[in-house]
Amino acid sequence: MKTTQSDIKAAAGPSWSKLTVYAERGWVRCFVLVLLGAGVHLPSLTGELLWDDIHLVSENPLIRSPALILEAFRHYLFPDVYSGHYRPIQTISYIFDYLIWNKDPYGYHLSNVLWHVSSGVLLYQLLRRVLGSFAERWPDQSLLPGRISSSSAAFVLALLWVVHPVHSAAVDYVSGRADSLAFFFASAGWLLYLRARDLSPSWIRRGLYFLAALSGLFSLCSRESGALWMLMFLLYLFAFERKPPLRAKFLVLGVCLVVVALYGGLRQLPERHSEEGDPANWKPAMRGILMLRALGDYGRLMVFPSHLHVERTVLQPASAPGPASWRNAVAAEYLSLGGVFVLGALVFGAFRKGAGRRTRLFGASWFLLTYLPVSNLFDLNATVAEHWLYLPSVGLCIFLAGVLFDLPRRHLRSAVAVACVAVAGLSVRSAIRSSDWMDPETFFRRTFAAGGSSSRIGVNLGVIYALRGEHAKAEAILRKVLQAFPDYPLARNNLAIALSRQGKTKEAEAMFETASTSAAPAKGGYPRTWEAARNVARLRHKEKDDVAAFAILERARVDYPGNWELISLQAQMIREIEGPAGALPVVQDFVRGHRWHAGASITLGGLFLELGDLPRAEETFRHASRLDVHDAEALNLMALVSVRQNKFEEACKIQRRAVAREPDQPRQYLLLSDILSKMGRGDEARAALAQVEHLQAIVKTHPAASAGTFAN
Amino acid sequence: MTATGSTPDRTAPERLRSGWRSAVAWTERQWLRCLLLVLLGAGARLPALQGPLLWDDHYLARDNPFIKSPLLVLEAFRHYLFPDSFAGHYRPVQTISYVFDYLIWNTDAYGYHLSNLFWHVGSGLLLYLLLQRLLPLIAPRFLDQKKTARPEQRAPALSGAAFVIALLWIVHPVHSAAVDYVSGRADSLAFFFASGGWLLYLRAREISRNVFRRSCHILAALSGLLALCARETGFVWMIVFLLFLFIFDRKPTLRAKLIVLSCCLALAGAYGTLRSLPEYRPGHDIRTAPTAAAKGVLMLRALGDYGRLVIWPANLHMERDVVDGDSLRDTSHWRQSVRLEYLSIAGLAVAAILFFGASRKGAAQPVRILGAGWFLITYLPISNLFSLNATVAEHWLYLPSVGFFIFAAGCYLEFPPFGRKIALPIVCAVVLGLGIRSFDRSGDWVTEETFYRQTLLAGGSSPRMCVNLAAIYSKRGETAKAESLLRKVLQADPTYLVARNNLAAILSGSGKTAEAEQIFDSASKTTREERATYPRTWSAALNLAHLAHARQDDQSALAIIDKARHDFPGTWNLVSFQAELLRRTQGPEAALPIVEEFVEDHSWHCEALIALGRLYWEKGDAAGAEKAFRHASRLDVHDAEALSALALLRVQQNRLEDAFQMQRRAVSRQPDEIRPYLLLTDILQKMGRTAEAQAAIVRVSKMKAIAEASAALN
Repeated sequence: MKTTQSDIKAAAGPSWSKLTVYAERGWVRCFVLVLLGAGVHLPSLTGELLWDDIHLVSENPLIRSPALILEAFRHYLFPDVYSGHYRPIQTISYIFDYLIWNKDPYGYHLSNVLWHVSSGVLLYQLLRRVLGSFAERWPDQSLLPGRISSSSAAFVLALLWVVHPVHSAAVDYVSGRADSLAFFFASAGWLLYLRARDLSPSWIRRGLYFLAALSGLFSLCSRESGALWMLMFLLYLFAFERKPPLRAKFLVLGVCLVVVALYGGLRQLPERHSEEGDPANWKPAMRGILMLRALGDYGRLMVFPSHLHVERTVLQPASAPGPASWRNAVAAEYLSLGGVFVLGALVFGAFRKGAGRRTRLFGASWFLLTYLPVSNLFDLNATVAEHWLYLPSVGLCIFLAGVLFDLPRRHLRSAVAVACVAVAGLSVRSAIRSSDWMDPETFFRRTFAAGGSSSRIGVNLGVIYALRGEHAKAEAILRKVLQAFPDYPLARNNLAIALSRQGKTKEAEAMFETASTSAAPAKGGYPRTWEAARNVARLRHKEKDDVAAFAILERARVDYPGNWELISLQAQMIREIEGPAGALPVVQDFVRGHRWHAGASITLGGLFLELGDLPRAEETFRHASRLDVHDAEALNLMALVSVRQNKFEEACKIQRRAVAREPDQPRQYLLLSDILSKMGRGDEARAALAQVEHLQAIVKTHPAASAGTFAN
Repeated sequence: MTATGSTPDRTAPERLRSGWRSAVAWTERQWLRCLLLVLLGAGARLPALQGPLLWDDHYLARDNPFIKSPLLVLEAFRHYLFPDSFAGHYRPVQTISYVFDYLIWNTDAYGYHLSNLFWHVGSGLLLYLLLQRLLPLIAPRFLDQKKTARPEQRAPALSGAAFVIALLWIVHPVHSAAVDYVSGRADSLAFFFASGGWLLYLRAREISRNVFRRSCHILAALSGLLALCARETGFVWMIVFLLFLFIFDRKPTLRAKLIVLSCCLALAGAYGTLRSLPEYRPGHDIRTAPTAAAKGVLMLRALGDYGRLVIWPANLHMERDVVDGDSLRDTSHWRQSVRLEYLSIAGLAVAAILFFGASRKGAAQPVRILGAGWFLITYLPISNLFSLNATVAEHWLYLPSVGFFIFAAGCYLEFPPFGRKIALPIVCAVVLGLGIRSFDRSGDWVTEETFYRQTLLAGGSSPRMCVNLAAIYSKRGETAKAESLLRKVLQADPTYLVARNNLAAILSGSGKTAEAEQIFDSASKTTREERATYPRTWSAALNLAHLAHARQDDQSALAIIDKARHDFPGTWNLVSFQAELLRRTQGPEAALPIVEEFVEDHSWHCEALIALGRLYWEKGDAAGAEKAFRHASRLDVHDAEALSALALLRVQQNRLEDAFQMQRRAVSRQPDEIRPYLLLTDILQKMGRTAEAQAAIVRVSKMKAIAEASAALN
């Protein structure tokens, strides 16, 4: 006699039955996914922008205006680093965040959570379809009633995936959203393709196919893992999917190749970076070990996600050399063994007979193929990273589904209980991990505590202390970093700053000097290495040795062409010595190549203004005002130009736009009040002044509000 | 086809098949298999027979006072293996084996190597015979039920498997350190006696006559005790034996099994008692004990290394290690040491293969279970679970490798007939390959320098090896080379006392006395732990005292020696030097008490007794001197010094006939030495037997000429 699921539910009682019926509804499941997925990342919503967020969000000139959307395709992700990440969709996502939220980090975090949760929902839908297609082909359909349904399995796995704390760096970290974006667009593209296939031939179907291809392109432009998604999609289509005819499959393959070609074409747009980081030159034996270690680490992280941090490594800790220290590093060897175990389990599971064999085979293939690029087979900027599991973890989920399918009926309830406990445990861990991202100090401290004691983290912590005025503490930590990594130019530069602030000018100067000379060869490996040269130039300028300062800047400009900070300093120094006419060509030259740079345009406008060329100044300021939708400086200057031209009405209008852009800044009201006074509109001017007083009173009551988030 | 005779003509394939069958029938003969084992086992080790005594052989087979006379056989049970080290190896049977070697071969290294070979080949033969009996007990499905004759006829497949296992084992080069190295024979001895004991027990079970059966049982027990006294692995053998008895062997009753168990416990008790006879030596390992996690890794690395060594015995050398302390010194060191991590993975694979093979069903599953169990149980003690003096050593595989080969045979037995046919030439090729590798490896032991050089080349670059190589250079007069090597060692490990002492000795020899004295001084100021870690650390103090004596500062020399004697009690070299100093400065009366005191505690020490006899003689106590010399002459069956001293004593007493007889004995002990002949000539002349004296002089001249010629040749 066959036992059906309804029989089981009936035996379990009416309340249980009701609950399971509810739990099987699609919208309830999506709601639960959204609720839990967002809930576990709540702590990070109140977090600040930190680390790379400063470069990608706070200081990124390419996100300031929707007018720069197309410009994003012409640049790498990091405007001022030699890393070759091409992720225009990530930049565009920040454009919309900036448009809506200005500089409020809450909005950026909220977007991250939304992308992640939506990815989770799409994963659920995708798994439902994929697992369903596997279940349809089980040889013995009578097995189905007693086993977990593919839809329920998809829900459980999507739930596990969405709450898993290993994705923290991709969700809680604003700069990490590329994973979610690629995931979202790729899974959406896949679903769109599946949906289109179900439709009868029509323009809607074609539209859906087009949207699927577009989604694929967006995925590729979000992150390089989009290519892996495409690979997985094709693998599924050719090896596991039997419905479409071979012709249709080849057509899809052709479209994918076109999408890849388009992506390749887009990737040609940015100017090539001349230098990347030094190749690791690892021997195959060592690569093999690193691959196994990484696999072991990922396996451990998926099962027991403790010690989560962003500076993971599976290399030996170089900070603890010495004959006896191998005992401390022995944990890394267990990772290799863990890797062998994971590999063995996947291979064994993939080939073990049973109803879920195909599912397990697909899951294992997914995991191993998406793991390969991050396995240390190729040189990347790290040996392991938690967020690199964002896509491979889906493979593990599918593999787990295959295991669930073969689970005997009597173990089903135990499995559900285990899944519930796992979801609860992972959620709590995720929430705790999410709180690591509250503020830079908490983040760097906890990273240190969890084992991510890298030089970068040390430098960042040192910078935080320095910013807080604890220069001695900063000096101590930076010296420690330099002891372990004497060639780290950022540590040298920051130590020099800390020393200079403490009055140890001589040592600081020597440090800047060595940092600036060694920075150029190392610029491929470290970000913002030009800072040392700029700091030395500043010091020389301060000492009135402008010849030396210019020489340093000239050399730095050769090493770091197109760097606005260097050009800006040089222009400023020339202006001080020779007047605006001397500085103008330098800035004009830069603006010609960087028309999207708001800061440079404002500087150029300022020079024109100083030279008395009001029409060109106005034009430049107008251009600059379009490059940053929340910046009022260009509008202020435009208003000033109008005032000079005695066009008070126009000046008032422009200044009102500036006020609308920065309604919390007393300065804007002061300027407006000034213009209104000049126009003889005394009442309105007084009202503006009252607003100034009101804002100043608020600032006095809440001093923190004036400091702003982007103080550093 | 036409028939030309009474039997029809056979075609070529038929003749070939018939020839093959008769060849197979030949190889099934017991005596032929044993002959093959002996021939191949001995043949693979031939180069080592020409080798000298080296490294630990100097302490165990050359300078060891306990091996000089059969009278000291019982004394061997009262001492650890190394007379002058802090190592706690208790192996009296090994010492006794050297006693017999010394008795027969005097100091000829060839004989010692020949004995080693004998014990190894003997062990191989016993292994074959043992497996021939054990395998049918656990795999009855392979037995031919119709036949009731000898085991090899009842189960030809199992008998063949036993032969192949023994053959692979006997020629395997991984045993080189146990066979080609005289000091390594403990493994063979324990193997020989343990397998002999097991076989005797099995034989006894088949004997119906009570007297013979009991005798066999007693002999088996005695053999077990000898195995225990040969090496600590005797215990592992006992455990394997008991596990086999209780798990696999279904023939004996439970009562009989329990009796065997109690006998084994009694043997262990007897061994424990014997072990308590020598003065207790405290543990001397100053290395930090590894954590549990590190132990786990070391166990896997060792398993991986052993697995690799059994299958692919490349890079064979002493001083193996699965720890690279320098791995974290910098990234490049780490990159070089990454191979160790592959050993862990290989270890995991070996464990998985053994577990998988043992759990896989089939007719030969019990054989595989026995093999895997044997390997893992015998591997555990050397797996780094317990702290030993190394993390891995090739000769530690002497016993576990048997399990590995049994396991392999268990896999082979599952092959289909066609697979077995293919496997046969592969096995032959493997035996041939292993034999050649063994022969090659055996060549590493032909000279001391070759040995140390090959060890260093193969990767055994330990400070000990470098120091030993430097000592060879130094002996050869290449002091600059030796000095440079020792300085390199000290740069890598500044705490290595032996290197410091040897460097100082070289410096002193080349006239750099001040630096030498400074190094000797620092080397002599050792902590208790350092003294316990390195062998012969007293030599620094002795050398320092020698230097003080050389500059006529005997007071300082005596003070240094006094302190050293306190740190290293019972060291004859120190006592001897002190006695000599005292004798020279204050006369024999002053030296006598300390030598007397030493002899009281070390009545087996030949050299001390000779020194005591000389002091008595110098003092004028002829009776005391004679007693001491006579006693000394019995403590070394090849030493002529005590007899010569006795002869001189007789000459002094004008008992020329007695002196002549005594000196003739001395000459017979050292017929190749000139000095005894000179003394004999002197006595004969005093006796007026000029013709005989002339003959002795002629003999001396001949020997001198031979010595000069051989010196010129060298």
